[in-house]
Amino acid sequence: MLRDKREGFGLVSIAVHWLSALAIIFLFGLGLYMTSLSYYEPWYHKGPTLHVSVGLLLFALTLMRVIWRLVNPKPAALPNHTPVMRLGASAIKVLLYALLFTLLITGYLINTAEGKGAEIFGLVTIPALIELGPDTVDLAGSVHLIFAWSIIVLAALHGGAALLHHFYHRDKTLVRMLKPVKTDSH
Amino acid sequence: MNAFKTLAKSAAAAAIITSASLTASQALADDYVIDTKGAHAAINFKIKHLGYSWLTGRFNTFSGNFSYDPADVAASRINVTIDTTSIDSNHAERDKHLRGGDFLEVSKYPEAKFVSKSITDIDDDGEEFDVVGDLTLHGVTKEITIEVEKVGEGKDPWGGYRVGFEGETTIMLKDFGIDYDLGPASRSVELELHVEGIKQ
Repeated sequence: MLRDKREGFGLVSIAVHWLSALAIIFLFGLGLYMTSLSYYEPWYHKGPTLHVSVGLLLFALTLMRVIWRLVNPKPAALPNHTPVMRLGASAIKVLLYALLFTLLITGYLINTAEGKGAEIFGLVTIPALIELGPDTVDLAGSVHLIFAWSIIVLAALHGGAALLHHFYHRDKTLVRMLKPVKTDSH
Repeated sequence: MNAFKTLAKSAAAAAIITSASLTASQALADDYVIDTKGAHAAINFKIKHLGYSWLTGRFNTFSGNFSYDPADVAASRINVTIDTTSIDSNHAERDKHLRGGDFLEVSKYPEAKFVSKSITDIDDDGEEFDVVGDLTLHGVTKEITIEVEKVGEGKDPWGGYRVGFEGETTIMLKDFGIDYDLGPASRSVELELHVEGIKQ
């Protein structure tokens, strides 16, 4: 039930997948909103604090997600999936992970660029590892923004593909990510 | 007799010293390089935060030189070039914001510059004066006046000769095309300059 199997995803993977999806969309919206605020708006400071806190939690979740992926069997592609589908799906997944990690890392670097740790809701402080010069921070900022848009576009493709499988190909691709695989009782 | 001799001697000595100092005062102004290498110079700024306190910061990277002659202060000149990307208010995200399009637009205007044009209001035996010059910031060049006070001058312990000043001026952000709304109390910025020059 909890663990992944060759036949499908376990509850942990499914929960983490949807939690990540929600967090990414939330962070994207909040990021755009908070950077558009003028100085006297109530969310001028609350926005970034929340963005950084949720971002760091997502970072931790994503690291655990990768470990979970490595210690679990990889669910096999559905038999009706053509090699092109498999390749496309994997390529998008790899890109999504690459974009996500770059976003998480650049976000952390921007926040800690001057040596102060990054805070999760004022409860936990993740120390700064490296201090960056202004040019590097500004570059990290541009990458963060461009990759944020990219991950949303790719996630939309990823989601669109899932819907296509569900409604057009009528296979279990989407259902597999909603219903945990049953544990064998024998 | 002895007393007279001593007097004559000291008079002669005084004459020599006077003529020596006259020669010195007639000499051309000396050129100095601002000691940014040893960081005996600073360009600090402060701006009101909400009208309740001061937010201070500085530009970490700049360079400049000046010529200065205590006997002819009016002939002094100064040039300073500031690396705007080096703005530092001790807060990573604020500094990023200050470098960005809302404020300094450092990608477009990586340099700010001050070039003096004249020295006015010389006071207190040349220890206090105003430096009038052009400040180029955010791509806008505008004449500003810096109130300067000499701090001191003399030999340093390592064989060189130094002179130092402090200066202050206030600029309106809007004058330099920076119109991000920080509130009514935060429309001007005070610039505080500390320069120590090493004679070349």
